[in-house]
Amino acid sequence: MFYLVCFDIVDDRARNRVVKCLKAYGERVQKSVFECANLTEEKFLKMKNRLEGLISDQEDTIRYYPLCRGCLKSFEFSGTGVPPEQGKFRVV
Amino acid sequence: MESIYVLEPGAYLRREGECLKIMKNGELVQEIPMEGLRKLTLIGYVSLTGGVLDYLIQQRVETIFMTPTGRFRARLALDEHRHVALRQAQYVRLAEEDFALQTAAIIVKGKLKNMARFLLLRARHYDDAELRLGAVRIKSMADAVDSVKDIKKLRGLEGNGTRIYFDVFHRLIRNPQFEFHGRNRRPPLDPVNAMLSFVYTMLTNETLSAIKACGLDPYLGSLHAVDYGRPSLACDLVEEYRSFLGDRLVLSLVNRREVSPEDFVYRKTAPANFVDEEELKKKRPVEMKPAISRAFVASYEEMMNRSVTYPPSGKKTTYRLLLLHQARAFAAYLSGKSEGYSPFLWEV
Repeated sequence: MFYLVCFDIVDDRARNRVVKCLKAYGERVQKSVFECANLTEEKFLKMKNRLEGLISDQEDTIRYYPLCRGCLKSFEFSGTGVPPEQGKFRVV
Repeated sequence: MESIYVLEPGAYLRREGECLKIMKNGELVQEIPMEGLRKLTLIGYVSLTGGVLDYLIQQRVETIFMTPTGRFRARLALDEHRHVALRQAQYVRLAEEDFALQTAAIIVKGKLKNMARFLLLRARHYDDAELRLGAVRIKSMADAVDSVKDIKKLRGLEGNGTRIYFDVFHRLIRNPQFEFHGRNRRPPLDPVNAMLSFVYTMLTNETLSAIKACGLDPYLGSLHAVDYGRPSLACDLVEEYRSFLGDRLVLSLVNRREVSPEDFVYRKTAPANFVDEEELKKKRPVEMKPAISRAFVASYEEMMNRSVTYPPSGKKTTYRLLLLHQARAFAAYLSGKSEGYSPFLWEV
């Protein structure tokens, strides 16, 4: 499943840790928005669990939006950037 | 990301947590998430830091080093598989002459049948009598395999079949910009041969990974003789995929005009024997330009992720997993858990 993850975190240190963790799973498309392609249920729960350990329940929030193939197909954007990556491989 | 290919010359890899950073001249080129990474292929002169190495070893990531021309250079050798009994069965059974012969015959037969089938399909498609004739000749050789009682004759039969196949191969190329005058390698002398070599190396690596994943020793096969540093079993088991995966990919790129002769760099040279790797590097006659090798790898990867029905189970799988299923079937055959092994016969 493709997940859109966005967060709002007050503390700089906590935020850095969250970013570092999210970079293992997906691409940073905006300052506080990540796109995580091809996450299995297990991978997603693992990621969520890890993130929950890093933030403060009182002040911070992280939101996860699962996106279906149809939703991704109708993706549009304005300004700079690239469409969401969905492949299981990367050639650099 | 399941697999990552790095072709950027002079790049070096760094790790930050579980994120792979691809750097060049001190600047960040790209960041790629490493969670779930299964295979890393480094093509050309790429270096990596200890941190990356540590991650690759810990997560048992299959890491392969290749030259820019697509020759295999090295592999990160992880600890051997724990399944000793299976490897023992492999050594014992393949040392029996009859069994080795029978195994080699199965492989040759599968290869010849697939080549014939491939030519026949294309012959029908292009309505080409030469191709049909080639297919029929190879088919009759496949039928003759069962009566061969000598491994050397079997190898001769395979060589002959392959020769017939490559004699008519130029008729499969439907793009006048490309020519093919027979198969050559080490080094390949023209673009089509270069692409064939490249894709065969990739497929052999893929087969080798599958063999290792199910615990067999890739260095002992039956059709290919044991030779220092030659993964004979991988060379054996890759035979059944050559025409339908390798050749088909190259032909589709050529015939759909996704590559053109301008995508290659040429060097004037006499095809002599090379003294060493260094000399080969200086003198290799043809090489893919970076942009096209990237596109090539991408279409290879797309092909391996395409889905196909696996006959024994009737379930959908991908070509990549098909290789693994076949390697497991071969392991079951060696350890006596199943009666025989059947190469994948393509119905496409």
